[in-house]
Amino acid sequence: MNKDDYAKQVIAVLNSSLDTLRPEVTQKLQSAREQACAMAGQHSVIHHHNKSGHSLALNDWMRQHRSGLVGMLLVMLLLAMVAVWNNSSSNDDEATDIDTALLTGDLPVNAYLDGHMSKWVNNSSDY
Amino acid sequence: MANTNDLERFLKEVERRAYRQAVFAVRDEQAALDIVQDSMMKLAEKYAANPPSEYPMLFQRILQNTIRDHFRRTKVRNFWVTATSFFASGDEQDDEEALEHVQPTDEKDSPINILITGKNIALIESALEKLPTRQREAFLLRYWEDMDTAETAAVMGFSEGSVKTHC
Repeated sequence: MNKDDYAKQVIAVLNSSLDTLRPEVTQKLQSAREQACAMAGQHSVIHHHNKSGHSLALNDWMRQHRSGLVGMLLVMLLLAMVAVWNNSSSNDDEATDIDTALLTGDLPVNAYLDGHMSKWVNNSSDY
Repeated sequence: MANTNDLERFLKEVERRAYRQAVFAVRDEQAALDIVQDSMMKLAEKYAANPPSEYPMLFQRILQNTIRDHFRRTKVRNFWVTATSFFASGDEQDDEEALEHVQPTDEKDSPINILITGKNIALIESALEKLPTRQREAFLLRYWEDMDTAETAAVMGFSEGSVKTHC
């Protein structure tokens, strides 16, 4: 008889011993199993509710805070407009400052008339 | 819901073997019942949504870990019991504890149970209890739970070679 056959015989005896468990033990095992299954059922229900609940909760929240959301969007739009206007006005300010400097003589006109300089600026911007 | 039915079917099939495995390991019926219950709850709580084909491996892994946890807890408790009894002075309490230890924790050792279950079963169970823990676990997983070498190795956290050595 090889090892596997011997092991199978041992297992057959062990399996037959399972039928001789005392009734208290089998009852406790059964109640443990039922508790475990009840817990698994509760977990699956909670999981399902959570999954579907997320989208429902989001819809409810959006419905309740519709006016707030519209107001928030308007504020964001206003802020964006202010930022764009501020940026363009700062460009205008720079141009005004240069004009003022040119008129008062603080900035020499030759700097703009010098072809070599513009060539040098263009070349240096390549690097 | 389908998973709950699968889980129940699986647990029903495996619960008695799991209980016997735990009894072989801890040699205490009540502790074995607690271990099986804990393992069932852990499986249901964390892995009920997994495919049913994964249940055997997961459950065996949980069962082995719960048995190890039981041994760790017992070891810690024994340490503290020894430490506190060293300082305690009452002799009566010691006598009571000694009596408790004398009482059989596992009724399968009783002569009546041996007569009912048959001599072979008692002999095999006693032989299994005498096996080293790893060897017993490997044998039961390989032949009783019908796992292959790789699955047994995964559950026990050993290499396949080690499982082959133990079986």
